Amino acid sequence: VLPEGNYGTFETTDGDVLVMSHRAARGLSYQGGLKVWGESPSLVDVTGQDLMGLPLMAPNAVYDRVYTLPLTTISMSKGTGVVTSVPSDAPDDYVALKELKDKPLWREKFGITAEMVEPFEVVPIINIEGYGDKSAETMCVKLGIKSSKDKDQLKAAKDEVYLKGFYEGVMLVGSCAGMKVCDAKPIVRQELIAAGHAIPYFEPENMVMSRTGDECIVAMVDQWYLGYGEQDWRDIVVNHIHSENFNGYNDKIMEKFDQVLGWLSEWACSRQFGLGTKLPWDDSFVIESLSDSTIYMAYYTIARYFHSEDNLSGAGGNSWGILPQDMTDEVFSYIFLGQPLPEGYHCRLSMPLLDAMKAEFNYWYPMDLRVSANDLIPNHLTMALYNHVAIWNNRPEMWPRGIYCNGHIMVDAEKMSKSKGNFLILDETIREFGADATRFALACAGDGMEDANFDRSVANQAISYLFTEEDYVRTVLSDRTNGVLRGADSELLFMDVAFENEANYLIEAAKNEFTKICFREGVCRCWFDFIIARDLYRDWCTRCGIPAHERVIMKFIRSLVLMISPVCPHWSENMWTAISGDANSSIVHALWPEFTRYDPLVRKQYLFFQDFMKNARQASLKTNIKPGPDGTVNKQAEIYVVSVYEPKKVRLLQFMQTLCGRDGSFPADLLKTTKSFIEGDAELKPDTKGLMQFGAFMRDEAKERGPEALATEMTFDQSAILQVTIMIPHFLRSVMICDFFIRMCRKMRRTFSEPWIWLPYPL
Amino acid sequence: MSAPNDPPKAPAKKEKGAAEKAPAAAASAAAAAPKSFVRRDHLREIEIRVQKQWEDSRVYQADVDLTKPKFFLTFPFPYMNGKLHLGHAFSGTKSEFTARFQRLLGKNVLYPFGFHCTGMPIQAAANKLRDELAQFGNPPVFPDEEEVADAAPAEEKSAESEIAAKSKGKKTKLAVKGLIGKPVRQWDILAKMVPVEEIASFADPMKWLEYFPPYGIADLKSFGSAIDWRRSFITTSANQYFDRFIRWQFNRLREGNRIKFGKRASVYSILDGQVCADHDRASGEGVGPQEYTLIKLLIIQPYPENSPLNHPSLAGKKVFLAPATLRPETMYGQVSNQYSCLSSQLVSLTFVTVVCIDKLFRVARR
Repeated sequence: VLPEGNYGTFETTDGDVLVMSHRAARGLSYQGGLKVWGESPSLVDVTGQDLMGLPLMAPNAVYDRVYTLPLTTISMSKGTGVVTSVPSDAPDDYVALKELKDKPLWREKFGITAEMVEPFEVVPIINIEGYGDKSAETMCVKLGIKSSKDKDQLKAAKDEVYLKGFYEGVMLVGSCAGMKVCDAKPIVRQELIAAGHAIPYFEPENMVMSRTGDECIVAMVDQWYLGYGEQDWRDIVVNHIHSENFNGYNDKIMEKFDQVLGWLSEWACSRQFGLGTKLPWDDSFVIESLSDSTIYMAYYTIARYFHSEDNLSGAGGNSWGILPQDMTDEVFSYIFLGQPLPEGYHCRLSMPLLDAMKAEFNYWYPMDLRVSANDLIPNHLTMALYNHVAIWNNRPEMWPRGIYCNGHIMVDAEKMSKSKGNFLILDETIREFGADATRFALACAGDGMEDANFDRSVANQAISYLFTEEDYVRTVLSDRTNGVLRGADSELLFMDVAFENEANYLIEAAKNEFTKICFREGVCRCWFDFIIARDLYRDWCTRCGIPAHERVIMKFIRSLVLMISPVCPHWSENMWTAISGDANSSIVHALWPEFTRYDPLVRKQYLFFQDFMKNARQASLKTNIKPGPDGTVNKQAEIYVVSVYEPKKVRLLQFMQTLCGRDGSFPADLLKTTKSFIEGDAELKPDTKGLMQFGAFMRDEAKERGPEALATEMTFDQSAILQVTIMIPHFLRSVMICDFFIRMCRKMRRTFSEPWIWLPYPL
Repeated sequence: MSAPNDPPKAPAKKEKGAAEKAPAAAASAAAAAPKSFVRRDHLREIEIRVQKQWEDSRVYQADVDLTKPKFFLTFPFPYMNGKLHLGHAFSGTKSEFTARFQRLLGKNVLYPFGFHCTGMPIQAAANKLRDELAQFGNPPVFPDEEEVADAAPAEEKSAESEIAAKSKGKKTKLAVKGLIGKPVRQWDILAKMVPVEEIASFADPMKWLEYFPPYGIADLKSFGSAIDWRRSFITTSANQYFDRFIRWQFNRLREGNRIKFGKRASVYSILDGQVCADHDRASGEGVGPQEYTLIKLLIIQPYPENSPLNHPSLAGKKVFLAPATLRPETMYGQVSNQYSCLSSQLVSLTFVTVVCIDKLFRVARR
């Protein structure tokens, strides 16, 4: 007999002998299932082959004789290496039994005779609606499973049957007949155990390796545990996180918390080994690491009385003369819970000192925000909520106000790993890119719970951005000093107004994103989009030979520096000093840039102008007219301006106007009703696709600008913007033409002789 | 040296390739194409100057100010068995940026930062180093052989331990270790982080608590973090104030009947001789005990003549096959009198198998 594939025989406390894998016996011995705790000596070893074909007796039924059969899909690293066969409800078993019946050669390999399998028919135990009494058979037929080698299908079949059976199955036999499986399961189990026909056995749901390299088992251990999951406790936590007093930032975070609160249960909080604090009432136990870090945020509020940067352990003493032994339970309860000191309690510390600590705690608490990677939701963060609720019992005003979770960081789209050489230590990364560029790339790495990506090329680009913008800021400042700018009181031209309006829009948008802890989006608004807007403004200034408006451009540099300061504080601090001209003024004390509500109409004009320039430039490039030998361009443009929508769109807009609310909102089924409106009209129907797109676009417009967005006539004079004299040189130069004509028309002409340009609005 | 106004993308790409082969900082210096650091060094100079300014003016020390709304935010303190990495920094930016943003909104912001030392990893690593020093001397001279009888190393969660975790059973684990090469030594892990002459002192767990937190502070300062460092501390009984705070917390939990005592099924390490919680695991975080039911199926005597079950040690004892099932309800028919009245047909057959098909065939051929 081969030594591999061994089973052992193990004596239990009542003298019976169990046949199972050595691995399982080892675990069982730590659960009190075997004779001696923690020991699992095998009386005699046997192989699977030794056991093949043995007659077995199921308890309580003398003539119920069954046989040991082979099953090749068992894993010895799960369970006991012995499994029961339930061909009615387990697809694996059904197929295996069928194979043994149908293939005499196969069963003979194991010494299994026909009488050991043939008389046995599948017996119904559980009825699942839609699957019948023999769900395993049903599923195998349905998925066409023929052999035990069809592993993927078998797994799918098993998962489906198991889930359906558990929640919807009804017992057909036994004392629980008629009951749902999910209700019957614990009862049947208890009956089996009470009758001595079964014993409980545990193992980890999946493999667990300790940091010491040991494969873990499950043991029954005397221990202190926290009753997480207890109904009354859990309900308070659940209610809190769904209350107005808690900000979970996004639905995915909240969903995860709800899940975890659904399953997190009793938590062993004591250990025999490791660093930490001993249980106050039993010093043979140390409190484990997740359990001593649930409410320590409260400790921060008074930590400065015991610690300093170079006195992290507190052993170095403190200027108040507070000794560790002064911090008794009574004193902590006074500070944190507002409980009076017991009468006659002698406290070495002065009451003003205790009151100062208490006031400091009460000032800072509750915690407004805790942030962490999302892998702490299933343990640390949920436990922190439980413990706050327990310690500050009935004081919801002390419970955490917000938790934000981020995803994991990748480096250049790969998982950080030491072997790949992309495991970045913080100090090395700072040495390579500097702090601000590293921070900039981390801000761009990602918002939300998905994996984020630290892109080293972004960090390098950030170095450039910061360097270039510093240069720009200094240029503006020296222009101001040199009086080159247009005076702060001078008249505002269209581009000044438009750029300032865009600044207002972006300042507000960035603030909203930062508030949501979406820094990537926020940086897009306050840095990238802002700089694009500035570039357009600068371009206009340069091409028209008009200096920037002092007030407008100063607002830009000030706002840019302020808004990026959370991300790149050093750069901003340096720029702030330069702007204010005061070496003592720190950006750390500055406020978010002021903004007024942007004007949506001006913004629309501005975007129109931006789009128009883009289209015009493209149209111009399409022509074959090249600059002459002297560099001048002899190119003219005809611009067709349409200020009404085509009749079909007007019809649709009129329809949409009837549905639009005062705030620009629509009923949720807008697109559906719009579609039936279009399809119900013979003239509109052929253009359904285009009109639907237009409808969706206008819906968003109305949401942003209100019902007036649905006006059937253009709300501003497009040609006027182009004809603002101040804009003309800019336009001519950037489109590379020498002149243009504007033609107003009621309808878009389908064909144009080149060169031509048309306006993008209205669509 | 390239001009400072070069487009940023080109040098970045070159550098990326190089950085894959060597530690990041060294890589850029070693990059084939010469790269200018003028801009970066210019920015870094500013950073260092500004940090000094902040330090001197203690701008991040937050005290009670009743004239302002407050904002108190925290970040889970990192575990102090090494230096901070980019993963810490990324999560940390969410609190760091928010701290600064809330300041801009006019709030009085408190952003403190502590250091976690509780639990097994530091203790286990210190013990392992102590064993290495005892066995191989100081500095240790490790033998060349592939395997040692010792337990696998206590180390950070890494690709290696992930693979080990995925493997089944001890043999595969050893095989995987063989693939990777020599076992990882605690000495070597430390050698990458601390000066060689100091390694031996890390056999005392307290050394870790003294050594790493100051690096954490220095790195975060160099990152420009808006932290009130007066409130930083380490955990464990090495900090008597925090120790008393935790004792207070646990007394309150017990008083509120939230903490209980009893025998509980727990994931357990036999080697460590104690419960193995999430943070003590190299792999398998969040995995809990699964409850099975062992069904006792009596093997009917007499056994076949040559069966090992005839061994004298089993004489007079009832021998049961012990399948473990997650579906005890399907066993019902087996033990039910009602069922035995139905027919002699069977609900439950029992399958036994050996580890894999290959072996099974060999058994069969014999």
